[in-house]
Amino acid sequence: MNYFCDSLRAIFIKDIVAEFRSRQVLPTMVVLGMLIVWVMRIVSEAASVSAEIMAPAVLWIAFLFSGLLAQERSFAAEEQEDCIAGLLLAPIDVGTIYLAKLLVNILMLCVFEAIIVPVVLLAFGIAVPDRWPALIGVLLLGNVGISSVGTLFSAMVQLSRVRGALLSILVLVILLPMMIPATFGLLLLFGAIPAELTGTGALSMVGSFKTAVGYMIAFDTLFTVACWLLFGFVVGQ
Amino acid sequence: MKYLALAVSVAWLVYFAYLFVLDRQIRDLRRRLDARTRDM
Amino acid sequence: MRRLLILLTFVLLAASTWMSLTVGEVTAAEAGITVEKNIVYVHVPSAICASLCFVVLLVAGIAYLGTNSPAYDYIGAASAEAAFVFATVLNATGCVFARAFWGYWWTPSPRLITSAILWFLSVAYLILRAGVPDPARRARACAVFGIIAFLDVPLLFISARLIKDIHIANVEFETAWQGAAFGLSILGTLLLGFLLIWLKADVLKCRAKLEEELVD
Repeated sequence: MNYFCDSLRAIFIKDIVAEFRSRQVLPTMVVLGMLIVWVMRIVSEAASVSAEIMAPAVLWIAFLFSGLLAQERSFAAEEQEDCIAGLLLAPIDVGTIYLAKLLVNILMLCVFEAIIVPVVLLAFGIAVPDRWPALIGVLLLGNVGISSVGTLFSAMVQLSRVRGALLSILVLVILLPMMIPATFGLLLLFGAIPAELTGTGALSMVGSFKTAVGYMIAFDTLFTVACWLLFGFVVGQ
Repeated sequence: MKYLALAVSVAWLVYFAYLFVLDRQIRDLRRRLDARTRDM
Repeated sequence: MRRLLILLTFVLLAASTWMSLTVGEVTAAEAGITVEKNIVYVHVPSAICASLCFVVLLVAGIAYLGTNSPAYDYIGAASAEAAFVFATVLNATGCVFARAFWGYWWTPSPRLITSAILWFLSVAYLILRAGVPDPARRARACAVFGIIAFLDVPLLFISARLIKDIHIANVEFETAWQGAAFGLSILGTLLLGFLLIWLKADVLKCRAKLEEELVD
C-alpha cells in the first residue's frame, strides 16, 4: 500500500512540477474559460435570457472545453522522447500511472473551478449563499467524470498516434449522458427549474437534486473504475 | 399517411444504401483478388 | 448459404411491411393517433437492432482485448457500422414520427436523447476507426472505445429519466395479425443486422489479408 502511494505521488508530483515550470496549460484554460463566460454573458444580455438558465450551461461548457485542454497535455509529454516507455518499465502497476494522471487532471480542473466559478457568479449576478457546498460538490463530481474519461482517451489519442483532433469528439460523446444530470443539478441549484417539473406520478423519477447527484456519482464510479481497468490495454505495446 | 410513407421509404432507403455500399466493397475486393491471382 | 440468408431477410422484411400496411394496420385507439402509428413496425425493430449491435460491440471488444485475435476486431467494426445504420433509421423514423404526432421534428425527451446519443456513439467509433493507421493499435483503441461506449448506454437510459418523457410508453396490439406483423418485422430486422455484420466482417477480413500481402 505504501509503495502504491509512493509511486502515485511520484508521478503526480512529476507532472505538477512540469506544469508549474512550463506554465502553459493552466493560463490557457483560464483564458478559454473567461472567453466562454464573457461571450455567453453578452448573448444572455442580448437575448434577455434569465441568468439562472445560462449560468449552468456556461459553467459546464467552460469545464468541458478547458478540461479537454488540460487532458490534451496529459500524455503529450510522455509521447515526446517516448517517455511512456520509461514509465512502463518502472516496477509499478500500470493503473497507478492512470490514477496519477487522473489526479493531476482533477487538480487542474479544481484550480480552474476555483477561478471560474466566482467569475461566473459575478458576471451573471447570481448568489448561492447557503448552497455553495452543494455547488462545489456537483462541480467536483462533474470534474471527476470529465477527467476520468478524458485521461483514458488522452492516452489513447496521444499514444496510438491518432490522426486529427479526435480527443474532443470521443470525450464529448461519451460524456453526454453525464451532462444531463449535471446540468439538471446545477439548474436546480440555481433555482431555474419551476416546481411543476419535479416529480409526481409518472414523472416521479424526474427531478430531485438527490437523484441528479446520485446519477453523477454512479457515472463517476463506473467510469473511473472502467477507465482504470482499461488503461493497461491502451498503453500496452 | 404521407408521413408513414416517408418513414418507411427512408428506412428502406437507408438499408438499401448500406447494402449497396457493401456490395461495391465486395466487388472491389473481388476485383483486386482476381487481379492478384492473375498476376501470380 | 449466404444467398439464401439474403433472400430470407428480404422476404421477411417485405412480408412485414406488406402486413403492417394492410392487415396489421393499427386502428385509432386514442384521439389523434391515426395510421402513422404503423411507423412502429419500422421504428421499434431498428431500436432493438441498434442496441443489440452495441452489445455485439461490447462482446467483440472484450474478446479482442482478451485474445488479440483480429477476427473480433472485424466483428466489432462491422457491428459499429451496422449500429450506425440502425441508429440512422431509428432517428430518421423517430423524427418523422414526431413530426406526424406532435408537430415538431425533435425534442429533448429521454428516448429521443438516447437514440441521438446512440447515433453519436457509433459515429465517434467510426471516426476513431478511420483515424488510427496502424491496425494493431487501431483494434486496441476501438475495442476500448467500444467497451466504454457500451457502458455509457445504460447510464444514459437512467440519467435521461430526469427529464419529462413525451415518448409513447407502450404499444399494444389489438389483433393477432398486428402482433404477427410486429414479430415478423423484428425477426426480419434482426436477420438484416446479422447479415450486415457478417458481410462487413468478411469484407474487413479480406481487405486486411489483401493489404498484408501487399506489404509483404
